[in-house]
Amino acid sequence: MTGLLDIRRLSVAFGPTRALSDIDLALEPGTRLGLVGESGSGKSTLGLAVLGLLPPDAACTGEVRFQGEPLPWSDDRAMTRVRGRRIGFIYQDPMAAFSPVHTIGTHITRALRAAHPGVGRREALDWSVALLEEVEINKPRERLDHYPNEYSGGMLQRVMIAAALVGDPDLLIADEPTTALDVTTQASVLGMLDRIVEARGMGFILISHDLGVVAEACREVAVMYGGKLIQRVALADLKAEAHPYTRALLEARPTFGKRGQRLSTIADFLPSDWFDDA
Amino acid sequence: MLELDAITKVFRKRGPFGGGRSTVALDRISVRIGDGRTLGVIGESGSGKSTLARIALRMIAPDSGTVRFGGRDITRVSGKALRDFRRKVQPVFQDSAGALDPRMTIARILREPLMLRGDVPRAEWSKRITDILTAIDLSPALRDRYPRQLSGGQRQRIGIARALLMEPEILILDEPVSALDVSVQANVLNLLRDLQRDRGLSYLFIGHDLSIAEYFCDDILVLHNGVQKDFADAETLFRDPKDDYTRTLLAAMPRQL
Repeated sequence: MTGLLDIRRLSVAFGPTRALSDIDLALEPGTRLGLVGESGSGKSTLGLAVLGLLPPDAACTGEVRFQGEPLPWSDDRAMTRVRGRRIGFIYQDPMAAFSPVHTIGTHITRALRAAHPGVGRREALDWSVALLEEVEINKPRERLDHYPNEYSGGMLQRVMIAAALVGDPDLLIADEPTTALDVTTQASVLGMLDRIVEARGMGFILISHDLGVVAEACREVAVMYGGKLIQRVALADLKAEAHPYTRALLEARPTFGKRGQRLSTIADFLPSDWFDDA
Repeated sequence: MLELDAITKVFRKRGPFGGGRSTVALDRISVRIGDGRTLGVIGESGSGKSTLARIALRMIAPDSGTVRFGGRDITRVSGKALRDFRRKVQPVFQDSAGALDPRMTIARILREPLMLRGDVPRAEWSKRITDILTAIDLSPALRDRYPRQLSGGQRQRIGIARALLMEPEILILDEPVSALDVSVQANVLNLLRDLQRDRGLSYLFIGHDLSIAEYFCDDILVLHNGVQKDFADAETLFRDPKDDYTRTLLAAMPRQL
């Protein structure tokens, strides 16, 4: 059986700065992986590399295979047939993802007709309604006529997820999809993502700085630091098998029961040369 | 020592043809921060938590209600009394990059509070700056750097140092660790705890994260759309939340690992 995604010895550099070093990562169909790391760990760069969205000055070596085929990074038109269709993509800031002068309906039907050129206006409209229903937006038909500024942040994030689903993708990559949202909104969007990914049986990569967020919607965790993949582990085994850096991330969180105690820091778990030059 | 009593604040939005809508940002909120204690004000966006912080700092005036400091009504004071109050109640903001002037070196940024105070002889400034950098676990060599040359955690420490140089009694911490990575967040929270213990500071901690509040605060006020939902000591609030909204917030917290 062909794997869904196979990243082999992927390295990315921006000038003298190494953003990713020798990443090997393979995903089977339906895998739900949380990609976790602090700022500068390379987690977003990895997501962008898979999508072929790195800036032109990025020096990239290695290979990414999607469903057995190498991703055609250098061929923009071929890449467009993968990105947004077979691989869906959601990012952090829903406010920046929509043009303020077009209705939500225009955004979604355009994305639909770009992914499925034969689809007529009427069909696209019905399909859009179904997608908004899938992301649990009430009164979807009315909502299509509204403009982005009439939506809340959480609703727009749902619409962005709907737009990422237009091509019926086999892999969904979400980069910090709930970081800009309030906790209660975050909980409902994560719950919905969990249901959609489950129902569609998609592969799912959730990029986040927060292990707790990843735990809500993934089964496995890959931890990154300084452009390297530190470890990959099933969520259930995370505590038992945590690498010292992963342990540091877990222990540094101010969770219940630590009241009155000093919080652990990375320096408590790793020698200083490890994190200074890693 | 700092008391907010029945604070109400309404923001009016003027429409182009008069009229317009009003938003009740705070509805008769009363809280009290005791000596050496930490009060957490927790809420989502639009809860009024930052408005409460700005009123506590006397950056804006409430529509009704009283702010008392050391038993004295400072809601409408001005001149020297206001300057005294502002020296003793210092803010630390979330966006450390935006709160520090990018054109100033760290030494220059830290000289400003000393200049404002006026009671520290100029000859002592350099030593005071070295001392405060040491106290917040930063190398005194950073004094010649510019804010952009520091990491987010280092900048947040400079923001704290600047507040401390005024020798305040209360720090108003507006989401002080929200923009920081987990490991850096732990360092800054540890630092704030040590400073509180060593200097007897009181904190008003504004945040949205209940797990940080439970760790860091003695008492917690939960705000929702300007209305007080719950007010209890941290332990009671978590064990036995009184209000449905507090329960919703607790349930929405990402999994504890």
